Amino acid sequence: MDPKPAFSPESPAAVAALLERGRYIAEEGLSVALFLALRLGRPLLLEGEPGVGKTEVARVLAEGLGVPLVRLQCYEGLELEQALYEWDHARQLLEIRLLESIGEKDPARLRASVYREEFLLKRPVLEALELGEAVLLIDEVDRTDEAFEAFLLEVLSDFQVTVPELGTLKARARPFVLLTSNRTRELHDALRRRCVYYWIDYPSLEKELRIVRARLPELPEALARRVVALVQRVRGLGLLKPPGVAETLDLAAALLALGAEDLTPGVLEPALGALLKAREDVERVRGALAELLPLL
Amino acid sequence: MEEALLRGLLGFLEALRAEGVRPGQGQIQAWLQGLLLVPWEGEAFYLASRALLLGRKEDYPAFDRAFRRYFGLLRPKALPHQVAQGSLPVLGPGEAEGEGVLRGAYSPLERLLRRPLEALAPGEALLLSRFLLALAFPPPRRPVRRRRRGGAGERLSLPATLRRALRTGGEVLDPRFLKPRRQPYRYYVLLDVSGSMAPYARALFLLLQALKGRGFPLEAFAFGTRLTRISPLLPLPPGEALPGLGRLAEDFAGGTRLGESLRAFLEAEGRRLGRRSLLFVLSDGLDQGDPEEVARALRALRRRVRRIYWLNPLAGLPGYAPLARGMQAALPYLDALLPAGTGEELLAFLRRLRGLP
Repeated sequence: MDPKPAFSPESPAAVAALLERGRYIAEEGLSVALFLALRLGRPLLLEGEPGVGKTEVARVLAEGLGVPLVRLQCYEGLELEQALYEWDHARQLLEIRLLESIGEKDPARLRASVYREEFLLKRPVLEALELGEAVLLIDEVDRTDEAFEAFLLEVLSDFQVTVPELGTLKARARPFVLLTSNRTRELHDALRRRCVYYWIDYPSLEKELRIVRARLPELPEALARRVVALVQRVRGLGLLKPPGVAETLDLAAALLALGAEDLTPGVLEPALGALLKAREDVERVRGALAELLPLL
Repeated sequence: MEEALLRGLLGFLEALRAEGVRPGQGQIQAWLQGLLLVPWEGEAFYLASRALLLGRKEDYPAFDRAFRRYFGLLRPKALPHQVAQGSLPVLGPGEAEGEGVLRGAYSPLERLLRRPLEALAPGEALLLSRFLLALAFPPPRRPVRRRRRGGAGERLSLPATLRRALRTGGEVLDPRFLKPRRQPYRYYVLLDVSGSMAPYARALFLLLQALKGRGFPLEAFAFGTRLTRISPLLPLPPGEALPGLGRLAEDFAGGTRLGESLRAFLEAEGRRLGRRSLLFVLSDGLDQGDPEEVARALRALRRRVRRIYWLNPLAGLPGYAPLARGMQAALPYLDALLPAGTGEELLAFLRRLRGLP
């Protein structure tokens, strides 16, 4: 029997409201996808350019639902042990010493007392399964290799993990699983088919303005509007690393810290580093500023 | 899920496959389940389908093409904002239904189908029409007496066979046949947009748009005190067409003159009608004119069209009897009086269209 999905929102609007309480402004498409993933008990696969707020969704969702966020940050060479569990060998050795010192010699009994759950170091996937009511974020899944993807697929279909020495550990409730990908590598179709899918695009000007206003209410609206308009135009320049929403917020925060009142080249130049992360891009935008600014 | 709905939905998968997108079984199952969960407001139907059937952004454009082709006329993006932000509020899930104990007993889809058309918010009416369109079908084609060449029909075409035989030195190697020619009917619709029909007119108009979008040869007229041809409004996006219809209705605020409108239709289109024409009157039959005029006009029309159907939004209500004067006068000349007050009733009507003699 499949464990039941742990959360059951009423409607996409309820999901949107929950996210907005965490100051996350979601497009309707995202709240619909999230709603369906939650209700159908399927993982949600979020793709999008870096900095559009994929990871943030998980954080705000967990916060809104009042459940822990368990995060598995993927990277190249990630091993199963780091995702699932490891035995705490040091403590196991100590335990053996301890038992020997009180005269325990029977190998079967030694074995049984050493392979107990208390010596299991639970890593994110197992931890989330155990918690049940949790949000499991598998971040940047595109960075792992295919073998790991296959393993994920297995966990995501069964919601259980077998520890040979202990038996099968099964999720009581089904944690909500959110996968993100930056597409450095193409994910396997089998994994995609298992998920509800949503591509987070760069937000529209109005939307991004709302996000900036929600996050930095102390920034004057006129300035916020000009910052967002600038970023939207900068994204159209074909940069190496176009700025995401995170960068817009960084720039806005930098301007706030600098006490800027208007967007002039003089104010912007020192703050460009908050927006752009490649030297070529900084030069490119600096060169285009004279053209860009009057248009805003 | 109702079988016809299911068929209509599965048809969309065909359209999707034709665009090269092949969802897996698990995705299809999740889709069918998911559609019953989302409230059918705004773009939810579109967005939910996209989230559940696709797994990569690259498929978005193909999905949009299939969606437009299959669900017809509408750009998905043009859907919610322009129309749903009209004067009427969009109902939340399970809100304001007055179903009491039954609330929650139906899926949003079923609730949408059962709700009286007059109670539908603009966005919902649009979704309903879109959905009915999903179930709709190209206009049925009926055989006519003339035949066309081609295929392996039942009758040999001597001229074609001989022409072909000339190429092979007079030897008949490749006999040619005649196939029965098939053509759709022509559909004439008279839509009552006067005061009492106003709440229904919008939903019915959207249905007409859906049929037109599906390729039905359809001519539509709105009437109240006068008759106006509204066929040019049909291909427009609903956001543009509905205000046009609304302005017409305001002009007709005076009431309904059924008989005169029927007469005007007869005069304007009478010569073009014929045995391949079907006439549909969409009206509650509340008439301020002379009932005798209604009878006279219908009697004349009856001789010029194949069938006359009357769709009445009230006819499905329990205890309904056709007592309105206009309705009374019309009854003897109708092939059928059909209810058209809910999505379900419209669905039944569409089925009937498919099975027309």
